[in-house]
Amino acid sequence: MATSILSPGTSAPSRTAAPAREIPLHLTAVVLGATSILVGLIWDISWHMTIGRDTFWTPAHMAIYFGGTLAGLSCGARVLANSFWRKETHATDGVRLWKFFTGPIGGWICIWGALAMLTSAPFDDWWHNAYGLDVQILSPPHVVLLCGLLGILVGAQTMAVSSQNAEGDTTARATVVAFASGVLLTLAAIAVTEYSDVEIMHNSLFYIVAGGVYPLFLVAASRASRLRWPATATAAFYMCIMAVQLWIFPLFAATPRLGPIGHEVTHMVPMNFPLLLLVPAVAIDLVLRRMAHRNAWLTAVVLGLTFVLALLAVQWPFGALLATEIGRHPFFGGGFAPYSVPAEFLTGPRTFWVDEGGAMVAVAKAMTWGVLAAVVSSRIGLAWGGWLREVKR
Amino acid sequence: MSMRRRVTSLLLLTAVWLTGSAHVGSTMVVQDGSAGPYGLRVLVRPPAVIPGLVDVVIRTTTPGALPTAVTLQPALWRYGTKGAPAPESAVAVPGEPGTFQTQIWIMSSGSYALHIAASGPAGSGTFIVPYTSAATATLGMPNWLGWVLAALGAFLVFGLASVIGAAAREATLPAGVTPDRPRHRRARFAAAIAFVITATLVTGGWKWWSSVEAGFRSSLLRPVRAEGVVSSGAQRTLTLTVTDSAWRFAKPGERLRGGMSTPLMPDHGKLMHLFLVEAGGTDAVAHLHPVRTGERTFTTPLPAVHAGTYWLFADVVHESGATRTIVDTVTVTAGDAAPNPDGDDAWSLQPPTVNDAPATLGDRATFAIVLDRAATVGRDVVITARLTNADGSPMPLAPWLGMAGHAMLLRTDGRVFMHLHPMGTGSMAAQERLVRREAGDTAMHGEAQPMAGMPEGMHAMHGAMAAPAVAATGAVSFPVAFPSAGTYRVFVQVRRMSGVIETAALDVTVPQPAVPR
Repeated sequence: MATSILSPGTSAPSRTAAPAREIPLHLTAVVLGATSILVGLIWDISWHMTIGRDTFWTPAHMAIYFGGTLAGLSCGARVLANSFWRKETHATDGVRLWKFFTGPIGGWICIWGALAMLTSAPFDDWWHNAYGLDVQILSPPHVVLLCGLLGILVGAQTMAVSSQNAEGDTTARATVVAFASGVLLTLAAIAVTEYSDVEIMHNSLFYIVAGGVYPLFLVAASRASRLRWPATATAAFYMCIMAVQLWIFPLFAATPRLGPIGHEVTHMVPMNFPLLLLVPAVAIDLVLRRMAHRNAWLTAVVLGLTFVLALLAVQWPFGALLATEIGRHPFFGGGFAPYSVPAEFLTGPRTFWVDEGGAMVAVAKAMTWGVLAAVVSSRIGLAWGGWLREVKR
Repeated sequence: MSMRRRVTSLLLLTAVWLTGSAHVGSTMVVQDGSAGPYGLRVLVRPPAVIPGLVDVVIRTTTPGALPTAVTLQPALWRYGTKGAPAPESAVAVPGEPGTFQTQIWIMSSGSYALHIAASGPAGSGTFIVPYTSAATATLGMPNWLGWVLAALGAFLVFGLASVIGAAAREATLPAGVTPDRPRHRRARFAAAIAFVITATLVTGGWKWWSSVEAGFRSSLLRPVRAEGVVSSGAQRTLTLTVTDSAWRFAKPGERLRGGMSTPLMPDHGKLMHLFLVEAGGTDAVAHLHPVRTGERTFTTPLPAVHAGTYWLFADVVHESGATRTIVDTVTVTAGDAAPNPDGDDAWSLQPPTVNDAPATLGDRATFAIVLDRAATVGRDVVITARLTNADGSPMPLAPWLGMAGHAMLLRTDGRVFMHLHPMGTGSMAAQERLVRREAGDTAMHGEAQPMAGMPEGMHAMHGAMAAPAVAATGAVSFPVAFPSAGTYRVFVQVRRMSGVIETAALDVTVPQPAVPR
């Protein structure tokens, strides 16, 4: 499928006179909902690493459900209003569904996400009764819930893009696109967090997984947001979110309420230090700026290669630093671990799980399989970003 | 729905009771003991699935000394209290002085020590209750929930296809522009592709769910499978061969992974307590103690039970405190009976029933068995057996296997079996082992437990506790809780001072509980 690669700023609607509300209320609500979901999700993960025991009413769960409800209801209300009460003015500016309903495409995606979240609730309740409290994060009802969360985050990004494209690409709107993209990128990073530990930063698997996941979101964001450095801003939002949670959670006292307990935990356990995605993101922005009108597959090859090279250049030495005692400093967070981790794993230098054959084999595999994954990921990102760039409803 | 009701409804909704751990058909625990100056009765009501919430009720049995605070801490065998969460405070039950209740999360299947600490004006003390946790049942999905989820799932699949189709049709059009025919075609194509992909993913999810269900079923704790064979001929011998692949013990030097792979240890001086109950539960019953003749084999000469089909239940205790029951049905052929080589074996060809009135024994002494309250599912009751001489005086009883008496509780369909002692449903050996484990004894001793070498010394302790009371009252009590509705037969066995063991039976009907609202 051919995709036209547009240079940043071209073909955008002309800057219009400042509207009454630069960021529409429903967009504010949806982005706030998406943020609340992400905060709740990270909080919930920290809760399970620290306290273990939870109920439906934990603040982390409330943040997730608040986010889903806010996004779902605000989009639902907008669809109903545009379909029935303001249909004269909105008859042809939305996406029509099932003949009678019209609304922004991002809103439809959000509504679908909220319904998926709603569906997962009775399913998950039954699942816990049937098979016990989840020991694994991934179970069928949790996947339905994650699809719902993903729907709302994708919907928020799409709605932000449509606002930017249709109402004029002001810096504020383009920044909202980058922020929504950053929230989505963070969700993706959380989904593959088990493949992001320090111990595998000198293993090809780390670069293959990273190559398969991150270019998709960074490239799409780079195409979607009309900022000068869109992927860079997206990665910066991701790094800020993860760094802030790392530095804030350990300030709050908490103790495990489930066993077995491997080591003493006295404060909330955060997630890991963010990956240094800022550097590959800068590289992606530069590549896309220089290859705006080139063949999409050729661009994807250059993007994939650049991403893996940039990630290797920064994350490999940074991993070596994190593996030392310095990495255990609260700033880098290497001293934090879930309560079930035995104490002996929390002292001394960390051992890398290197590929069989050593570091050269790891680099060679990263530069082949990792690049291949990154090329495919970049190509999908280009297609998705290209579509986002055109979304106006 | 409160957690308590949820636990109860889980029990009621249970489609298939497969087994228990310490006993067959129940993982409930009722245990008497003392925490310092406070006598306590602990009732542990487990969930059907693990990880799950265990409901624990603690009653004070010493009205003169009531604790004001009770805490509970579950410690898994491998980790002890060092790896246990902070103790949970139990809440005083209104209107029942000295009764406390709490719920604790049990995260793993295996052997737990429930550490109970009580404190109050009379002082403080601790008490350990062994509990073997296991998932015991599968839960069917109610029809209405199945339809609701199917409808929501179908709506989500069609909804996603519709949204993707609509997005392909007009999301990139400027406001006011009507989509042309090619865009409509593209929309239908995109929706169809989205539907196929989503339906494929749902199918994959269904297969995933099925594999989770299969894995869960395979992890349910079931009775240990074995084959019992009675040799015919002059001297009948019962040989029990364990055929279960789960019968596996860690080798020396091998890391002990779970409670079920620790060696077996004696309980009341015997490595195995084997019960033969004539099928149907109304006739002969025998309580035997086979010896181990191989890693998987146990043998015992058969006493004078008559030929027929028998249910076999054999209790063993692992060094971790986990208890398991081996189950089989055996055909006993006619043949010569052995005397009582073990000295502690007991059997009765036709135990007298005491449903309407006490049984009259040969010397006109009487044997009565009563419950202290009507039996209901999941509520602790006390079964009391009382022997009275012909002149009306209490009959002195002799300790037997370190206990004032033994009881067996059998549902007449054979699906529930429990071996009871005056201290409750648990194993005394498990309790003592868990106390030593907490004190730092993590080495495996197997059959040569530090106290097992002098069983009489160990048992004398219990005998000394039980014998005076028995001598004074002629009565022995067994706290227990019936795990499910049905018709039960309770056998009680006690030993006279002459050494003769008397057996009597009481039939108990446990009604279906009202469905919780």
